[in-house]
Amino acid sequence: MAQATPGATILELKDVSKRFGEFYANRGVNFDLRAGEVHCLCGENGAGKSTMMNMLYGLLEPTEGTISMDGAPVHIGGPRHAIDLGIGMVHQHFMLIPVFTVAENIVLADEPTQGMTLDIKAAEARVRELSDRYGLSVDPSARVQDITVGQQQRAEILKALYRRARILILDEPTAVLTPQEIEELLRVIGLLRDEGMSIIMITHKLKEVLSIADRISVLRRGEMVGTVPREGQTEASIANMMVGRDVLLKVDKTESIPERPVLTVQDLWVKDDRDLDAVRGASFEVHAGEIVGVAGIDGNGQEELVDAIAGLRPIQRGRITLDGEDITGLSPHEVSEAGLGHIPQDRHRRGMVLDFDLRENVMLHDWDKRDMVRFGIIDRAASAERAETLCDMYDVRSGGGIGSRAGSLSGGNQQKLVIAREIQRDPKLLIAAQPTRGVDIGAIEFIHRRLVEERDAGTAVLLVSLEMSEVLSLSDRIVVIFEGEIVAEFEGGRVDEQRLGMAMIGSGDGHSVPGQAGIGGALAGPEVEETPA
Amino acid sequence: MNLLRRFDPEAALVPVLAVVAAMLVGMVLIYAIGYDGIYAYGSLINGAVGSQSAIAATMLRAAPIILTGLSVMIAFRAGLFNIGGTGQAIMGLLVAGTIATHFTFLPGASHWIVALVGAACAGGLWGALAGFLKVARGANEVVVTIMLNYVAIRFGEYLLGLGGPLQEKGSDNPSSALFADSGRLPKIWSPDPFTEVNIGIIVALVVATFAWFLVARTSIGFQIRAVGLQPDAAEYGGMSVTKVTVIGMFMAGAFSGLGGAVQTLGELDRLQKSELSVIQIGFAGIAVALLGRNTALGCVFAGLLMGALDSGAVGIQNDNALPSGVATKLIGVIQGVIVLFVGADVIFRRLSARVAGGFGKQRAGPASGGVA
Repeated sequence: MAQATPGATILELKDVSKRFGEFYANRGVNFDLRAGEVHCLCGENGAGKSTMMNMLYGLLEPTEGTISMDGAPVHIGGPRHAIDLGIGMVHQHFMLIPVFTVAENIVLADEPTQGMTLDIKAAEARVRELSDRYGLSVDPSARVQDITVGQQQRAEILKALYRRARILILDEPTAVLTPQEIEELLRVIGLLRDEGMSIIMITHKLKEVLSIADRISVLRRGEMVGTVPREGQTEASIANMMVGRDVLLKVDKTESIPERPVLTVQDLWVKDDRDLDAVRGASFEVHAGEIVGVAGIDGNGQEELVDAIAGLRPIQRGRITLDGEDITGLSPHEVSEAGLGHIPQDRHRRGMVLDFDLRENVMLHDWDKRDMVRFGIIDRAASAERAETLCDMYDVRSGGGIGSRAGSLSGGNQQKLVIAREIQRDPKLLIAAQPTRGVDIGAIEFIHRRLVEERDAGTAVLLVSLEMSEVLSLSDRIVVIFEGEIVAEFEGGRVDEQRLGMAMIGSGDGHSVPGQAGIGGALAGPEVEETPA
Repeated sequence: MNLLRRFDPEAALVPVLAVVAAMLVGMVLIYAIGYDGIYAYGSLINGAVGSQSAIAATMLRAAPIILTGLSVMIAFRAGLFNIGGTGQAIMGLLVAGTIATHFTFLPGASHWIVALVGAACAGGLWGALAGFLKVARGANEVVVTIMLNYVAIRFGEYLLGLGGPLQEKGSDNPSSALFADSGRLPKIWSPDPFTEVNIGIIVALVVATFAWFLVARTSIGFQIRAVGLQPDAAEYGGMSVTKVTVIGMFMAGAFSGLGGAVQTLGELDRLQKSELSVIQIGFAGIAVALLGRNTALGCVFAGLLMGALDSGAVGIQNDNALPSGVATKLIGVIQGVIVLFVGADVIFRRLSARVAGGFGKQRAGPASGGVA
């Protein structure tokens, strides 16, 4: 590994911006990495962390600004070039070929050869040497599909080492690991640092940050809030930087007048795609005429919770009722008929068919409704009229009117279309998952206003958002989900970001929540007190 | 509007270029083996469209492969790859042939129409079986449909073989009794005493129109397209991917079953065991759908083109200035190269979309989703 003077700046971003259309994913970012340090990059989802790293890895090109290595500006043309420059990246989703062995994956694209054939012995020897040196135990001859996620990650790190990386970027490396594996990974990171490796680690798990970082940088809404040494930082101080003390997006709303319970969730258990319990015994209610916000860090079971309510994911245990009707285990179609409007968190995957035009997307749920379909034939005039009306009311702007491909719309307009469709269905319960993800400020305000209007019209609204400020400004009541459990409940307007933030990160053992008594005082449901976090 | 969109000149560009390129490759080959390529192509065109008889032959050959092309198309729209056209066609023609032979009580035109309907049902059920295995057991439809082709061939060989239930009583030939005249497809045009165009081409065009309408205008077509394009969004929209998969495969099987029936009731006078293992229309349908860009209208054009190449081959074969073996091989090469070029384009698009999509999760996120 090429050694630089420890402490010297080997990588620097100066005034780097990345713009997508009107949207700045990164704006005027300054960042530097010193030789032999672990530099943690924190920020909420959508803060621009991955964009920044993708620029470093050559996957994206900065719109403005310069990237320098060892003091000289570089233009990183692509991943291949980044690797040649000594930058290695371990993505959140591993880029390994399942049927290849660990050694084959590691040497891929840079294979030791013997004449025309792959010298697999040499490859395995080299891999073994690297894995011994850094204590990255993994069997080079094992097939990737047969090894654990933690081992796959080690293989990814070895791949970077094999390619002589001197800068290692780890994109949320602990997101997929068990606690033991996390401990092991942090040990390995420490070892790599001691060997002179410079490491950028993206994470929003503050405990890890404090245990491993030398310095910490925080991004918020694409801008660098600051870089601080670890000394003197606490989870609260970092959370503060991440969330910011800037003014909340102002939402005009009156006190809610909650009526009958519309959604009741009782002791809900749901598994994720890896067959692990993602929602673990969650219970809560949403009443007509109130907005209940689900706060939590990404990956704590929010997605599975929403999918389970919508019938899109099987339920292991528990009971869900919608306006008195038991909807446990019903199909998505039946739940939707029972009165659910659902703004899904991923509009590109679920919320719309990108290759359908706006007219077709507006009737996505209505392929069997009398007002859209007669004798199995679609009433094009009726669906076109509805699409026109909704585009008009919700100001959905498109290049070619309702005949435009949904995929051609900007994110904000796509989201407005989805919201228009869901609200138009006059639901009893409206689930809004990440309703403003990736939409511009103007659309955010518009969407927030619509959600409040829906509430005022007597709809029960369940808001799931990773944006703490959104949850705080919209919710009449907030439930906090952590590792699949509802660990706290607050009344909207009676909690500040610090306390909410601490609850969201599990607040240590759950006992060290500052103002635990305060939370208890704000509790609206008895189930929280029974749930030890 | 949908129809107009499919006339999009850009969408037609690749298939047209593929055909032109394949013709050029074919011409190079002819010159390479020492014959006059331009002259050979003259014979080819002559055999395909040079006379009324040639046009009739083209129409005759186009009808079944338009139908099997539609079969592949509709499955593809539902996100499924139907390689089972052969088996579905065989199930269809077995039923159609049996009805044509034995259901002589059916009056007039209803006889052959019922035979076709029976074929559509039989092929449809055979296709739906593959769909069912996919949704119930997770069996890949590509593998299953290929396997079911062999099952259908062997089943047909048993039925028509010596002592088989469909074999003509008292005959020593592995074939059925003659179709009743009313069970055969009626002739609509006879440009010369040896060539007769039957109603099969009309059936193919009607079915193509139906397929277009089904896909573009009906509720089930809407569901098929949604499931094919974005299964997660379809599920979110309350559609049953299971149901759509089975229905999609039923429709696909029905079209192929019709293809088999149109060919058999149009060109043969009885079911023959020896015909079963040499059926080409199932696989030809894949080429037709590919060349036709998986649209109904495209399948019609592609089917006519492939049919023209087939009948053109006869033109070369009949030309004494060229070696008789050249023709069929040459046409095979041209058809193969067409598929290769169109296929390469499809694969290239998919790969580049996937590569872009893979990075797009990070790359396009902020542009459209804002998740960095």
